[in-house]
Amino acid sequence: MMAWTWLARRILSGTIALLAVRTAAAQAPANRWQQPAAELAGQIAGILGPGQARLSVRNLSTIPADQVPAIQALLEQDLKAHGVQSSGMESASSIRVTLSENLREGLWVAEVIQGSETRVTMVQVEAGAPHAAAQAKSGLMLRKQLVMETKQPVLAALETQTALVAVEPEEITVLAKDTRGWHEAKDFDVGGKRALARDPRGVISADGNGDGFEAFVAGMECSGSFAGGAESALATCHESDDPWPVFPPVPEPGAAGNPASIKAFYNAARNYFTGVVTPAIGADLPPFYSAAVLPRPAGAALLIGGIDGKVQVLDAGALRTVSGTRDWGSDFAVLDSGCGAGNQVIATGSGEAAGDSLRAYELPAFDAVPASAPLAMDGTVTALWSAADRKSVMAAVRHASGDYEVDRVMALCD
Amino acid sequence: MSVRQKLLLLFSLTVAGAVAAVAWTVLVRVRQIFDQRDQRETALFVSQFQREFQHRSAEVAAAVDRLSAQERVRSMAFELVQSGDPAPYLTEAQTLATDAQLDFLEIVGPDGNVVSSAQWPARFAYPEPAAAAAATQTPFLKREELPDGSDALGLFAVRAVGGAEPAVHLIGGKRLDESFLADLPVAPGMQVYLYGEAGAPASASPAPPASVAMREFDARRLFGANGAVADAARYQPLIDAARKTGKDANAIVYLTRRREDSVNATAIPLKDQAGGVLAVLAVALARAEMVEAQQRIRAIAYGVAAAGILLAIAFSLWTAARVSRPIEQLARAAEEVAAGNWETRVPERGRDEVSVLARSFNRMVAELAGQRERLMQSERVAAWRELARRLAHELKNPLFPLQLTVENLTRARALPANEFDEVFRESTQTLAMEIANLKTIIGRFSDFSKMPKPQLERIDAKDTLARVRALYEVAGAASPGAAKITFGSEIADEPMPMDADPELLHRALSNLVLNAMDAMPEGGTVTLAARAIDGKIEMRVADTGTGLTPEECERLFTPYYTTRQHGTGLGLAIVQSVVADHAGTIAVESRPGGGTVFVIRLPGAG
Amino acid sequence: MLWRCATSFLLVSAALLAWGRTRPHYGGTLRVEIAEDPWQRPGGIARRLVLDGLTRADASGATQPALAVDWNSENQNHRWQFKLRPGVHFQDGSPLTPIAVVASLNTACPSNCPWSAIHAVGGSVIFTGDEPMPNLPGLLAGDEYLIALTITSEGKPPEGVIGTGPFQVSGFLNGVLTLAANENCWAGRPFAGTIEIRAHRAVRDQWLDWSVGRTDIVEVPPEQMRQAQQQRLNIVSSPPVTLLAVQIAESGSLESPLLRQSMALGIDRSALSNVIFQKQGEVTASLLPANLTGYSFLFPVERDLAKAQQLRGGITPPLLTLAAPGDATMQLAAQRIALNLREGGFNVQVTGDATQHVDLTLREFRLEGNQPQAALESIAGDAGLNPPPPGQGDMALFQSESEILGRYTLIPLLYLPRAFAVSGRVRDLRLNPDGSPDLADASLLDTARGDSSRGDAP
Repeated sequence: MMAWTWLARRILSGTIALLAVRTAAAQAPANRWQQPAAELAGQIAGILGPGQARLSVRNLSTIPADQVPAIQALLEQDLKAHGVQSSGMESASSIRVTLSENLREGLWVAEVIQGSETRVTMVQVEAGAPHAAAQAKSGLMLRKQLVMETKQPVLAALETQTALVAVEPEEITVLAKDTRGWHEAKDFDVGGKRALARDPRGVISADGNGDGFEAFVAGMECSGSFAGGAESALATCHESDDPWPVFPPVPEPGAAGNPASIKAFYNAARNYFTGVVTPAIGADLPPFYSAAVLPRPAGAALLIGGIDGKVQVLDAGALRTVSGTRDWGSDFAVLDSGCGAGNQVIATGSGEAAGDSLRAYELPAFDAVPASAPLAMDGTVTALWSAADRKSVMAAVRHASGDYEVDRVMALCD
Repeated sequence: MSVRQKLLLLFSLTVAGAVAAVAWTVLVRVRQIFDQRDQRETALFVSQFQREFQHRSAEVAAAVDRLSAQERVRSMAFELVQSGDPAPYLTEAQTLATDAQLDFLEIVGPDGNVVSSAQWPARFAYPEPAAAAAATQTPFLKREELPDGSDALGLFAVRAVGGAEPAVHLIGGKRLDESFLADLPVAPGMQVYLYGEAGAPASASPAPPASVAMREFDARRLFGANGAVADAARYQPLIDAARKTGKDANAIVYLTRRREDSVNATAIPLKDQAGGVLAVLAVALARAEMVEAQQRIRAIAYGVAAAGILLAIAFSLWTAARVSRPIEQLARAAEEVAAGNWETRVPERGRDEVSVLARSFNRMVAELAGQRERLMQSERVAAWRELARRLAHELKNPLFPLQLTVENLTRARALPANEFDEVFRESTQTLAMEIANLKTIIGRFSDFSKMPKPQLERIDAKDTLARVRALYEVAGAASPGAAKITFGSEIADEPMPMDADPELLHRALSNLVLNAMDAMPEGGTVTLAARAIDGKIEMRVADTGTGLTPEECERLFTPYYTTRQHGTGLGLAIVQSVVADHAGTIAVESRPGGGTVFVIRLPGAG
Repeated sequence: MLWRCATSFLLVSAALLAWGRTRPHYGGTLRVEIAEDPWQRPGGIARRLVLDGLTRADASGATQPALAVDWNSENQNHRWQFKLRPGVHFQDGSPLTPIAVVASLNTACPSNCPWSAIHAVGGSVIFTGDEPMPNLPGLLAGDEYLIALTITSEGKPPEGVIGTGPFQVSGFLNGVLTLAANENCWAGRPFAGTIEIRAHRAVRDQWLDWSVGRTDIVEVPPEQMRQAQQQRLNIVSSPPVTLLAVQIAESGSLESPLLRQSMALGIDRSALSNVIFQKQGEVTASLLPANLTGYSFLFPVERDLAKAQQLRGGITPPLLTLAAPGDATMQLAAQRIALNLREGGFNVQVTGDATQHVDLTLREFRLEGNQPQAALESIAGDAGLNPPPPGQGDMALFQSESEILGRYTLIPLLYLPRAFAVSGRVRDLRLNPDGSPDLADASLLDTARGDSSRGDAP
């Protein structure tokens, strides 16, 4: 148990650090480079002693080129403070500073050349800001909006006006909103003796009051409340093999057996639902990765994405394969855009392109018809679910760097 | 050597000489003809081989041509010019070389640097000067360095790949190695060897210096289709000649001492573009067949010559016999005549010079027989006269005292009786003595006429000489008042057995000792010596007397000759008779005042 | 350059981490062919599938928990305590205990270990050392210190290799090592049900099998990556993980450091990289790759023939031998180096026979992870050199590396990536920091083909 506490602590500290770095990155570059420049200048002066030297700076790192003159100016200023006057070509000593980096951090290396002797010193620089989030190209209909960024995988998230609850493999994080966006307010260890999963999944749904939640990860069920605000949120978890709500309740009233309110049993040792649902819907479902209820004029239809890659719709008690889903990935969710047919299925892509994408489809019959252009995501979509209000879908995206972000994807009418 | 033999020899030599001269002439001529044929054949093979070599060159050029025309190569050249990146084509040369069955292939980029090398894949990006030879279009020889530090000789062709500008070049080649030589069509008995010059010391730059001092011949660098050449060193002078002069060299190379193990070899220098000798190709044509043919002809020539010489000898025998027979008859007849057969005559046949000679011989013999008869008569008379004179002289000496004694007696008869008696006694004594003397003289003559036949028995010469010495040494010492004569002895120690009559020999030696003593009236030394020489026993009796003149020596053994005032002159004749009866010889060595030595040589026993 | 390389790797990795599109399927048989031994150290493909370490290195080189969840040091890094992850079991069902860990580490490192003693205390393993061990957590992530069961619950040595990893050995037949998914793996059951590893397979044969669909993952030597990419093969490549270096014997005719330095200056690295390794290598004059240290540029990679000649000072050593592994590309590289050195005045002959005395050896050093200090120690150890004194920080690392390089007995030439061609049915294949494929997180699209555990498939 102590291990989990420790892990949680580490993750918390990592998250805080990330946030701190992101805050620092927003500061002016000059401020950011002051400390390492001063440190390096001090080391150089320690080697060279007071005098004149020729300083040159080159950049082998990912520091933007326009920041290099500022760094050089800082160095010159700091060197001057140590009695080293930066001079022109006539100086016998020269200082060659290289802005470099490695996997972990930036590295500024100074080569102090006096005659035929070269001495080296170097300082570590904290890693630069992660790549700026690329502005997603908007399709004709879909738009995305960054909700949060984190270093841990986000399996599902519930966003309300006051709190954002993120389900991670080993903890539930509650974030509070301020002027700069969501920041971590509290986290709860999921715990349990279960083994970790390689393709962890989870769901979260709001309780009826709108100030509580119910979250599921493999083998565990958590419930909590943020009625008193994110900072005073509470959550408890226990081992459970209860069925998961696979999609937020559809406002369309449905009796028992109506797919609009079913729960599905999850295979905790794998990454899919077993196909057993409750309440029973009168049909045997195959194991599936995703399920969604698509309101249609003829009634809500349950759409399942089987682990065999087939997308099927439960129509009149019978499963019928949906054609035109060759480009679909394993995850999809339904949103109520109010455009076109009203509801669209947002599906991940199955293409081999470098980045993942989302696209809206409509199912007028048993054919999936693209209803938007693909929306490129900044990484791999690891989870996709409908927002509680069903007006948007949420996507967890894993960046190439290993970090995660949660995006809200909305459909706009053309 | 007889006339017949001489004639035979003369005839034989003449005929054999003639036959040998003819045989030699024939052999020399045959050899010349064979050599000329051999030269022509070798030249033919060499020219055929050179054509084949050129054909191979053309094949290499054609292979490189085909490669350079390939679409794959053209597009590669285009890409190389466009991109300037040779990296994708690193292994291209190996693939192309395998396809084109070339041993060497280099792709040289527009910058003159190697893009890909089949033979040395690691040599990319190094300059290849041979690409400049593309303009010549003709294949050439080049030494190619290999990764293992060795080098190989190759026949190369350079082609620019069409379409690309600046040009990309292909330098393809075939290795001149064992398999290359094995592939060349060669006539039976023909061997092709290649001597590859050693490369320059290892350096990355493939261009060897244009002129370097000729390296020492290295027998290991000569190889044939089957690998190393066992007799490589035998080819050294020929190959060195070609390396030195840069021109074809031809010579007969003897691989062993046997002529059939020789080859008629031509060394052809193979040059690089700069004219330096890179290798020497040796085309060796076995001469065994030709030498065997020559040997067969020579054997026949020798046989014919030998038969001719034998015939010539036979003919010479017959001719010599025919020519020499009358001469031989003459010679035999002359020998017989010389032996005393004066009745000998030779047949007189024909009218030639030999028959004239025969007639003259017969006449001459008849003349000589008559003259001899007359001479014998006169000699006999002279002998008798000499005998009579000697006898008269010998008898006259005692007769004179006899006569005086008788006359004395007669005169004494008138004396008183006692005186008469005394005279008578004295006279009778004298008479008796003189009569005895007469008897002795007569006995000596009688003895000479009655020399007994020797009774041979095995004796030792030493004993005989010792006996003689003992006898006369005592006698010499016993005669008071006589001059002092000493005896010396030089008798060898080894036994000297001989078959002789001891008494006769003793007598002969005694005569010689007595003669020696007589020759030294003033005293001196008699030395007896004996030794065995060449199976004979040599006995010497030497004195230190006055010696003899040569004339005296010549007459010494004539009967009745004596240098003394007294003596019958028979002593030495007896000695000679005894020696002759023992099949020996006697000689005298003397000079006036230097003493005399008689030397008797008798056959030894055993 | 190095960042571009790392970025391209990450992009490729990201492209394969596409379980947003199709979630990874469980089950199926993943077929792998390799040229080496699956158990060889380091980098044996089966090792990290069957065994786990106390720690692991992540893609950025940071040390992450594995079988140990926490660690701390005392007494100026002379004592380390590693707290074990609870609830972990070996594949035979026996629990992972500190005693088992100690036994495993003692077996893995009987002498000359980074530590002087280890013992189990409660749920932790305590390492003590005579010298400070600042890099111990990073070292323990290395291939050398993976934890294996040494004694079964019956007190007998186990049959075969038993660990805590995602796969367990299930058979070895006709040269094919079969691994089955460990259902109870602490890090989660792997996606593939079975992995069949055909070892000691020549690369040419691997490609042949791959082209006819007989295997899913095959090796792609760096020099063939370009060709493979042109053929639009699905290639997964790692950052630089293999150091190609020439090791020079310090004795004999190359006793003089000046001669060795002259040799180092005479080698043309760019030709090796650009041509022989088809621009897939990263020229280096440092032992550690630039992405690990950030200071590699301090060691100049340019060839300086004039200076090489000057340093040689007219001395021409006798014929030297350069041994290279039998691989054709390595032989070619050796030939090229010999050619370079010949220009520099050294007469060098390449030999394939490394059993006799050789003056130079072209060697490959495999980076076990992306922790620079541990990697440097590992390379120095492999080269038989005295390990650099432990230190912390980039400057200490630089000084250690400078000291090793200053002996001129090891001349780094290139860093090469490892790459694999992956069939279309394999998804999400990433490479570990040592360049080996992370098969535990890979899955198969059609789990039915050749599957011996179809129970996973619906």
